[in-house]
Amino acid sequence: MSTLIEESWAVDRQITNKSNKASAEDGIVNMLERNVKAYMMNLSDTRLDKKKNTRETFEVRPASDDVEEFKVPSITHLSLTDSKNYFTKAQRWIGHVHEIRENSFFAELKDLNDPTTYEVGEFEYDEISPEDRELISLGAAFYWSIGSSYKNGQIEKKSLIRFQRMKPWTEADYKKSLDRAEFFFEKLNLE
Amino acid sequence: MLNDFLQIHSLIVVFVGEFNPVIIQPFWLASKKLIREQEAQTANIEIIHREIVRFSLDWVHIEVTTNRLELRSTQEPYFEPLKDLAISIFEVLSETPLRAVGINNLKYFALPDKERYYHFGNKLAPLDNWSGSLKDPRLMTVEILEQKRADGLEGNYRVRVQPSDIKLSTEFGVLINTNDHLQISAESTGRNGEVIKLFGDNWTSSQKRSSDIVEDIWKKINN
Repeated sequence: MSTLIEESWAVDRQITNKSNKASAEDGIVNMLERNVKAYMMNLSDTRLDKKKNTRETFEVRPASDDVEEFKVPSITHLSLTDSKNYFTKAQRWIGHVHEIRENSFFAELKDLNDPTTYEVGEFEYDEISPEDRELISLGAAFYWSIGSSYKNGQIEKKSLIRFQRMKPWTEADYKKSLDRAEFFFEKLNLE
Repeated sequence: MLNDFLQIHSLIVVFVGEFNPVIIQPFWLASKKLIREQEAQTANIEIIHREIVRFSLDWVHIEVTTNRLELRSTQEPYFEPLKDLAISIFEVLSETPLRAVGINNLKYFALPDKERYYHFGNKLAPLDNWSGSLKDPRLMTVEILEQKRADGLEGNYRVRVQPSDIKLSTEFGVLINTNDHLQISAESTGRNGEVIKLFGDNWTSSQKRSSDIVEDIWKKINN
């Protein structure tokens, strides 16, 4: 039951699950079949161009001679660490929204590299990704990072804000939480 | 500080349990509001198969097999979101039996010169011990295991030091890999969120311990 990282991804290792010996090739064929079947469903007269099929591509040639090419997914030899795309030594904070204004909000910021440091910051809505804006609410948590990222040889200075996304609370969660609070309240001797 | 030479920091969180890989797909994550819709639309899906699912978003690579789920990122700003994502997946799939979690921090240091590189290996495992038997011996890998965890939890802690396996900005790359392995007892079913609780409760201290170990090794080597 090891959680050590493997030298490569599972497909590279070939799956050797004893109960079902699927392999990387099995997976690739499965994906291709699905794509080709979906394509052929829409064509009345289609033939596979066997000559042109290679390990890299799989072609389907309809009567009109338009060639549809399906790329064989490249799923082997993925390196363990993405050395072309990384963001290291970032200054990172976790923020909690404590005041909301018309075009901005204020948040308490805790330094994730030095959790004893607290600051307060104001953030404009324009700085927040559109899909995250609906998450802005009192108490909402977000991560703010500043630093240099390296992408395909290009270094970029970045400031990233991302609101925390956790499983939304259900009615059962609220109930469980209330029950817990009640349990602890009863344990308190307030007299 | 060794941290001055840190070039790439990779986080790999590994869960061991029983999984149904095809559930965990980008649009499923978006439907549960665990990632942005846009991220699901632009996800790079490599394979979706009953035995394995593998895809990547801009900031995380995810691979799920029937007994292992891995989340990987080389972007520090997303380490906390990666942790949240992992917790949330198993809060949604609350019945999934989980046995263990490993928090692997891989830190790649580009040491500036040959002397410091040699000195690093030589201090970790004195090469004089081998000089009579081998010509110009070099250290390849050192792996140290804390069999019984210092915090009393079930699991172990492992540190591996080796030359960098990827090209860094200098020729003198060192990879320090810490594996914080937490597991539940054999009697637990693993279906009541025990592993996720272990993961969440120990996340901050685990990240700190990994950094402390690296700095401690460096300090001792240079004393």
